[in-house]
Amino acid sequence: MEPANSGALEALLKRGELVESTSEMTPDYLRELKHTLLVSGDTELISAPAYYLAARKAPSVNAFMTGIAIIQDELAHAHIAYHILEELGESQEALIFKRDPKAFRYPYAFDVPLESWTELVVANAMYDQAGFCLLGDIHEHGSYGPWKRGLVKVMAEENFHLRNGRNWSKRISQAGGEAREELQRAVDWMFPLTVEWFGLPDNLKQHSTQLDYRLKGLTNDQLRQQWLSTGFRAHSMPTRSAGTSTIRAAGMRSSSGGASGGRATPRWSPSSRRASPSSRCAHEFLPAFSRRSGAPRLPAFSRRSGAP
Amino acid sequence: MPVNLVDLGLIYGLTVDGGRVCVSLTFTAMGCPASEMIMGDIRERLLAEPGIEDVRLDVVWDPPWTSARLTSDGREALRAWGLSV
Ligand SMILES: [Fe+2]
Ligand SMILES: [Fe+2]
Repeated sequence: MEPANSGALEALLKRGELVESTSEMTPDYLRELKHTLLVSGDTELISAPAYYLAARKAPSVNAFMTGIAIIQDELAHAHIAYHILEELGESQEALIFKRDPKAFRYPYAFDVPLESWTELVVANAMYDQAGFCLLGDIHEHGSYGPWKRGLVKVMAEENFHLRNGRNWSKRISQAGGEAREELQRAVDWMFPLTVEWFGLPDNLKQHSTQLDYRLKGLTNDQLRQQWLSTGFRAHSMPTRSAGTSTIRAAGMRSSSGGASGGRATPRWSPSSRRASPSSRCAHEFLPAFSRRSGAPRLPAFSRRSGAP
Repeated sequence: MPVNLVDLGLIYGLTVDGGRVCVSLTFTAMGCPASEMIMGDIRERLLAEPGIEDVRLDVVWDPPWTSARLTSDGREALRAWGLSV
């Protein structure tokens, strides 16, 4: 198929129309789209094992079911992104199972293990809220039709995740004592990592091809501000007087850790968007997805067999 | 979901006795991942009513929930949301 010329694509984007097939894309657009999808798929995928480690510490069977349901949602969200990549000519199998763990692209936050139910629910309140802002932007402004439509349900499910985070954070905070202190410690170390999630500040970022192609609609700073304003208003984590916890991380440190006690100090850097070689995710989680040689392979459904 | 618990057909009954409210309710599935959240919301909302001091929740599995329990408003809301009911 002949790729579209850039003039035609530019005109289509200017009219506010959606790109529906590769025949309308330039090679540049296709490359940017794939990259954006890959970061989204990798982030959703890595959240599943990261959340699972903490969900095992759920305080009740019901809470565990909630954790597991969230993990199932995240796997489905990853699948949506990889599935679209497959339709764009990539191999889902190769993307998930054959890639070097260090090649996965996801926010640095997921390299810091979540070790308790409290940390999981704060992650729901902060990380899932960040995902909600980023995906909401793509859902609202994105120029690629199939992804935009796929995000309708993703947004509804993310809403459930962040509500779980808010409800539990409130509950833990109201319990007071050590429970509340643990909540505060979790907020303290996760806050700067979620700020980092949104990437470089606009004044350090010269140019965004993603914005040119309307693969997103808002800049890094705009999205970060949106996250700050939606995530920390009345419901979730405002002032001490409201009986919840405070954000102490306003002055971000490049190596935060003082407040987190014996935890391994996160080596925070604003530009580390990929797994560092020593990261736990890269070394423990991702190889778990890889097939061992000699493991039996299940036959795949053919496209015509009516597989779900 | 953009539909309230009553229109979803989850509320089986409600009695008020002085400052105490008893709500019997069900869930769409026994493994409903939102059940604790829903019960917490009900409790919190009812306790915000003046004069209510105690909220009892009774989870009922018989008769089980089916889509026949949706009200017509609930059905419409779910359809508009993209679920076939
Ligand atoms: Fe997700
Ligand atoms: Fe999520």
